[in-house]
Amino acid sequence: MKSSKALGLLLLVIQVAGMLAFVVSVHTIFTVIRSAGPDGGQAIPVEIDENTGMAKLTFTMSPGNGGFIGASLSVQVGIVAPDGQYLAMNSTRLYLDPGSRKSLEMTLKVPIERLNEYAAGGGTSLEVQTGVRTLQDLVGFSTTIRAKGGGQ
Amino acid sequence: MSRRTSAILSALFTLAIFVGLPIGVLYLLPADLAAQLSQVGFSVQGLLDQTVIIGVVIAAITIAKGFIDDKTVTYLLLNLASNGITLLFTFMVLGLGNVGSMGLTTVNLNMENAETTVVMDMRLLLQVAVLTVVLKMIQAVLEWREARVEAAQKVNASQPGTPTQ
Repeated sequence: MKSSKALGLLLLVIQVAGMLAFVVSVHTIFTVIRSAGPDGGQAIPVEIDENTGMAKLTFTMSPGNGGFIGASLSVQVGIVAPDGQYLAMNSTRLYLDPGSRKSLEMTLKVPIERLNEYAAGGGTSLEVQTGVRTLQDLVGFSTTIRAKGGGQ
Repeated sequence: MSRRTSAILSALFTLAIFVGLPIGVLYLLPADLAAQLSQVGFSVQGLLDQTVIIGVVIAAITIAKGFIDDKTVTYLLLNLASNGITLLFTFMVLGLGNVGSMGLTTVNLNMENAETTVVMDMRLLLQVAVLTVVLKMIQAVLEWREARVEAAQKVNASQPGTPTQ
C-alpha cells in the first residue's frame, strides 16, 4: 500500500474519532448543564438565626447526566462585595456517571447585615458558578452568573 | 469525469456550503436574535462574512487545482494552502469568530442587574484539528512525490536504456 493511502486511512480514523468526541462531549455537557439549575426555580430558602446573627442560604439541585460519557460538575456559590472580595463562599464538585442523577445541597452562611446589604442593593452580588467537564476533563463548559442585589 | 469537471463541481459544492448557507442564515435569522447575539459580543454578520471569504478562497483554489498538473510545485502549494485555510476556518468556528481564542472561547452577557460569563474549553478539539491538518499536509506532499515518481517511471518505461536518477 502506498504511504499516502495508509496516511489517508489514519486520517479518516482520526477525523471520525474527533467528530465523535465532539458530538458526544457537547451532548453530555448540555444535558448536565441543563439539569444543574436550582430546584424550585429562582427562590432560595433563607433561614435567619437571630442568636448568632447569621443567615443560612440553602441551594439544592438535582443534576443528571443524560449523555453517553461521564462528566464532573462543579458548583460554587458566593456573596461578592463591590470590591470583588467574597463575603461568603461554598463550592463542591461531583462526578456523574452516564444516565445518573444526584442530589446536591449547599449552604452559605452570611452575617445578616451582609444579606441586608445585598437585599438593599449597593453593589453586593450573588455569584453562582457552574462548570461541567467531560472526556477525561479535556472538554469543558462553565457559566458564571453574578446577580446584583436590590431586586425582589 | 475529468479532473476539471470534478474540480468545478467540487468548487460549486464548496460555494453552496460556505456562501449559500451563510447568506440563507442571514436572511432567515430573526433580527431580534441577531441583536441579542451581538449583545453578548458575538457578531453573526462578522462570522458569516469570514465564512463567505474563506469559502470563495477555497473554491478558487479547488478550481485552480483542477486545471494545474498535479505533479507541479504550484499544485502542491495550492494543496497545502487549502489545508491551511481549512485549519483557519476551524479556529474561527471554535472561537465563534475569534481566531485568536485558540479553542478557549469566552462570551460575556451584561444585563441591568446581572452579568453572565460563559467559557467553552474546546482546546482538545482544536488540537485534533491541527493534528489532522498537519497529517493532511504530509499526505499532500507524499501524494505529490508519488505522482512525480510514477510519471518518471512511465517516461523511463517508454524510453528503455535511459539512465534513471
